[in-house]
Amino acid sequence: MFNKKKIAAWIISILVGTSIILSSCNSGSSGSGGNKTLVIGTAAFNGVFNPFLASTAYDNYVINLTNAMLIGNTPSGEPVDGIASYVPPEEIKGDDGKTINTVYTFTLKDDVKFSDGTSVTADDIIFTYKVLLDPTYTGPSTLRSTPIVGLNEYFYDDKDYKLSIDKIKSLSQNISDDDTTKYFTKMSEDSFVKEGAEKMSARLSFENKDNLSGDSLKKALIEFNINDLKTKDKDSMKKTIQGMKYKDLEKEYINKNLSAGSVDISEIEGIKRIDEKTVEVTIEGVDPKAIWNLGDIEVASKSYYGVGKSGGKFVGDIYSKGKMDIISEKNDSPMGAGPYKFVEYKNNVVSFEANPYYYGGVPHIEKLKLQVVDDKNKIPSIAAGNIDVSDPSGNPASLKQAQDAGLETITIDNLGYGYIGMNADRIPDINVRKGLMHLMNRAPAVQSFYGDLASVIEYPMSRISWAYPENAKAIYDFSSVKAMEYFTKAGYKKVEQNGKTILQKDGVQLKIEVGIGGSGTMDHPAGPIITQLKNELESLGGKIDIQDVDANILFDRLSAGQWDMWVAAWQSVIDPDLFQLYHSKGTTNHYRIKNDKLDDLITKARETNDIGIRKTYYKDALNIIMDEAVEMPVYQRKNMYVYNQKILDKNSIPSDYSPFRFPFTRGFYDIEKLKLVK
Amino acid sequence: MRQYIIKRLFISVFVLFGVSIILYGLIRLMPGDYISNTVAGNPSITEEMVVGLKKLYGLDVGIVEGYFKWLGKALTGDLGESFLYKAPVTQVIASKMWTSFSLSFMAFIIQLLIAIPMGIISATRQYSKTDYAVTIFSLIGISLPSFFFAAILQKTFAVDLQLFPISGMVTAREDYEGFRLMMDMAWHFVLPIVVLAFTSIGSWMRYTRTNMLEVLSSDYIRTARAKGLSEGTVIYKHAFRNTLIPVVTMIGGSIPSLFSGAIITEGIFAIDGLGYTAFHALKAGDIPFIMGFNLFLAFLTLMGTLISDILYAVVDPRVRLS
Repeated sequence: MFNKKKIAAWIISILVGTSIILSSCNSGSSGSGGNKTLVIGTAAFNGVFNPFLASTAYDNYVINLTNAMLIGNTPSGEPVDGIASYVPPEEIKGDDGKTINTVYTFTLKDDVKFSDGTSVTADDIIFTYKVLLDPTYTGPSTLRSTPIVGLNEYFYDDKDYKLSIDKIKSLSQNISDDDTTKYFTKMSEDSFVKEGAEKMSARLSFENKDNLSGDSLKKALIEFNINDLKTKDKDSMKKTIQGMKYKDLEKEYINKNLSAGSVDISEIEGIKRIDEKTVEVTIEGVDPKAIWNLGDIEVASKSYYGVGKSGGKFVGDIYSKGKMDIISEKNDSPMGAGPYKFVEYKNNVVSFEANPYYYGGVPHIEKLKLQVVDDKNKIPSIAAGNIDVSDPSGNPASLKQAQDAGLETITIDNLGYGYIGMNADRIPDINVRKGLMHLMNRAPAVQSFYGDLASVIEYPMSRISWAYPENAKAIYDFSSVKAMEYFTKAGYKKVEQNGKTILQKDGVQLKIEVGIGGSGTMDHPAGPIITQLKNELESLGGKIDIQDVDANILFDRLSAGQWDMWVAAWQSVIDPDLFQLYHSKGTTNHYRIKNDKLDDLITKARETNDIGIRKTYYKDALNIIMDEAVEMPVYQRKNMYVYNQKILDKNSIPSDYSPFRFPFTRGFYDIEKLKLVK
Repeated sequence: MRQYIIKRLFISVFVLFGVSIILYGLIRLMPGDYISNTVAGNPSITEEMVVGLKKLYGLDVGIVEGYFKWLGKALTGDLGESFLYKAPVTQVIASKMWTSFSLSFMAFIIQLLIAIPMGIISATRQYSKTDYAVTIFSLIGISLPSFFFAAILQKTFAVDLQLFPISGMVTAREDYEGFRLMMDMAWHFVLPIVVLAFTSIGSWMRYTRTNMLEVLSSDYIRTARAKGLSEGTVIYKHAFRNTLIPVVTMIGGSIPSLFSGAIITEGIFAIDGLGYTAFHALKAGDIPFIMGFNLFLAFLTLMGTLISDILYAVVDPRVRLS
């Protein structure tokens, strides 16, 4: 008995002991913060504080503070000096006047140093590029999409890359009977997954004579679809199959070459070290986005990130292509040439101290802390003095809350916009789409959700971009009469059935399914628009099925092309390139818009660095997109910043902040100039 | 008893194996994988990059193949690297679980200190006003959603009375160390501990009350009363000790679960614990972390039942494990 009691006592005392030891084993850094410290409230970190791998906005805040950009930008989003000076790129033209190559030259300024006191050199820039372009790189950078000379050879470790791709191309041209069967089956299976049995039967006018269901119905439908495909235009089917085969072969090539072990190509032809301070990057043709892909990078120290560490000492392996594990070893200790030096990340607080070597001048505020705060607690926490600055989600309620607490606010346009999209493959009739556009009443919804913190936009582009057309006017005003005109044009008629009005064509009612991520309660700026659309369309006799789903499901079905209509937002980048979104070959062309004239305009706009010329292309392109009625632009919102003016000196806040130069969060522009109230 | 424990541990291995199959299957069937979640909304991603990334993250293989790949590594003790936290899963769990544990453990002690006496009082005064008051109090606790109760506490004690900080684990502005840091953390943990404790006092109280009532109606209590013992002796010496038998086994069984974290409370109070971490991983489709975390939970549950079975034998001499 005594023994058993003893066991029980042991278990409990061990548990009590460990919990006390563990809660006390944290030791802080030295010194008292007092009035030398600014505390910024942010959302939770993933702890991936690595200039190459940080993928969330908040992990990137840390990197923005510890690392410096190669090239910066002006308040209006044009390139300007960073740690390197900005020189406009040089275009090398061929005999026909077409640009063959564009050359970017980055020369580091004098005396740019990392926070450990070592100088930033050309080797560090090249090292940074090479890691971002490593074939086993898993981070968020899209530098890989820049057509740097020799990049594919390096990436696939294949000096005959062009030959290999040509081989794939010629292979995919030859279509055997087996290929036809294989891809017809694949296409039919895909349509079954996309459409479901009901819609597919309707589209194919499939009569279910034997009353099939489940798998046997699926089998019959797929077979029926294959036979249907066989009757279609041979040439266009051949093209489709060639395209599918090419993608399969390409995928095979990627998978094979990414897993190859030995390294044959260790340099990228187009990235050259000119001298100690200068790097030259040559790209194929013209790419107006390239300056941002190449210049908007956080330069990392080769001697810090490129050397493996062991027991805190740098004695391990040296980085070479494929050795990303050496890079990710430093996830918990970022180091760079930024305004602040990383001290530690503990207890949901990231601590920094001013970098004495910062090239823009030593920051006035000695210590900086990023403290994790739940969004709803941000304003009360500033008011209570727990934190000094934060970016709560902007809406009329939070704006009022901040003003009531006597705090200062700053609002800055967000680089992005909200929209309602339609899939042209699923709603093929342009008149139906136009009709639906006329049933969307945007202004009251945006006003009630955001108040003055957002406004309605008329083109699918952030209003702050230089490419947003001037004097834009509403193209599809809210009018159920105009909507009905378009539905009539599309062949729909109102029919009375069992005392109900049904809007139908060839006996089929107009039905659409809408996807929205409204947390199950339609809590979304576009929620009221969709609800009103439903009421309006149903009073005309159509039908709308609203699916309020989780973001994962929304985007999963979106990329599979399974929504008729959906509600989402785009986060934009500085360059307003439209290729991925609206070109018929774009990866994220969820609208499934295929317009040769539009494709041509988008391609042309990518072939020059001249903003004036690009502007006119974009204007025409945006008008075509609006006329195709695949996307209703909804709102341009503002980000809100709240700060405690008793702590942070109002006069020290830069007045030229803009969507491209945020003062307190992303980018932390001019943070070295901020001062505390004495 | 040693044999019994070895046998139970042996069975646990098979249970964990089964759990891992179900988990992996479910995770892979979830809509949206890590890559599609991260590239959604990024207009500059090309299809070629998506194919390459899926390959690098091991998402290019089917469920069965993927499971065996995972299992092969897991058997050697390698639970893989978290997609989201870019660090070994075991390391992420180890670095966060003690925060969750200290929070839950303190809340647990408070719960027991309040719930057990309350349960006994309400049992001994069954159907009295005290009994009803205690029952109502504990049912309010069970029924209150933690986010709502947390908001009330924050508004009252942090915003209005300014007795406690609104959220966070330490005072960010100060660089406390040693004892000051400990006190600072304790001060920050008061509100979350109250939330965790109050919302689960009810179940412990009801459990104690039911057991006490059962014991009070047994024959030996009648005998004790018939012997002429005072009511206090009957209740606190004879009844209370026997009530503790099932309670102690439950307590032992609950201890491992204290490591698992509290998703909502940790989120609201900005505490860097395991629950909130796992919630983010789940939303992002971080397969290695969700697998590792859930297996950890399964392991804790198995340990919990084992501990409670052992404790049952320890506190009750009539029980023999074989």
